[in-house]
Amino acid sequence: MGIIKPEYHLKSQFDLPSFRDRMTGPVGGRKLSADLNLTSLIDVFSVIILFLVSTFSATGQILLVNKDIKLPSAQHGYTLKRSPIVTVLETGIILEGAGVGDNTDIEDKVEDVDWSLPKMRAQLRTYKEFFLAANSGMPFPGEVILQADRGIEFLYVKRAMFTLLQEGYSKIDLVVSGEAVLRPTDAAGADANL
Amino acid sequence: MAKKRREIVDNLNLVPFIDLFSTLIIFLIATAVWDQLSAVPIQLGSTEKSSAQMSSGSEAKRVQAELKVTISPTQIVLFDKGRSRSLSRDEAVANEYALIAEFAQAARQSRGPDKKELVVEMADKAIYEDMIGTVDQFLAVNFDQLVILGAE
Repeated sequence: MGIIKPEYHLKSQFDLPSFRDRMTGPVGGRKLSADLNLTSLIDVFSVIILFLVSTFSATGQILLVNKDIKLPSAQHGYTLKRSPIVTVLETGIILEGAGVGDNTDIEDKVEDVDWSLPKMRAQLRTYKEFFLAANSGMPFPGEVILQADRGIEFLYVKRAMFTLLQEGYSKIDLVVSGEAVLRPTDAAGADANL
Repeated sequence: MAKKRREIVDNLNLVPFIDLFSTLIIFLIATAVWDQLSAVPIQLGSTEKSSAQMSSGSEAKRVQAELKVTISPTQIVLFDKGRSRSLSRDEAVANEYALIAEFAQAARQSRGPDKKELVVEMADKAIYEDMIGTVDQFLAVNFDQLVILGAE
């Protein structure tokens, strides 16, 4: 059996050549290429871009909020500045992602030597030394970011603050949810630059 | 011989435009910040003194301030130049600290714009949210030099 030239399996009226002839032929021929209407697509794209540009933040995400924390809200908070991040939970204290203290049975620790957080102090001291080594001549700013759940008792926050103070971190930015306004010092700087 | 007429293409080629838009959208979505976060700045004062204030209630009670707020689990008390106002926590929270905002407004009007100090004294069992809610009302009228004290 010799080689058979392949042919169309469908009836001739459904063959592509006949279809093409019918579409582009001299009598009643229609344009074969169909244009997709892109106007609506560009409209949608434009709206998405406008929304995203309006919400764009040049500073980026400074910190990730711990999943166990529901932040308190405030309407007059200032912009966040990058500093070491302390997270206060009812179970413990986290500094830059690493556990540095245990808060369980905190009531028993109030008058105890445990009130201080030695691991946290050591870590804070390391950050301070690193800053001073990297920025010789500059005064240590003592800035830190603190996040805590809105419903937590102040005692837990106080314990972290006590340790922060012992290491000279006296300027604390308490993280809140809400749109930030420019810090008065930064606003003054921006005005001076104009 | 008649010159063959060239077909005029009147369609704008939108493909590069869509490419650019797609790239922009991907970039903006990847870099978008969805959480609106801000900071309430507080100052804890000098190390030795404030450490004592943080740990000891008796030390904290000695601090005399012109404008001071004392927050306990059940009550928020506002002091301004001998004038004071006491609010129950439920009352303050129910109207979203509007009564505190009124007090802060009055405190601001009674002094010049240079005065920015506010002392907040917190009881151990006081709720953290109350401190933020109260301080926020004072921040609105530019009392932004906040000192936090711990109390028994």
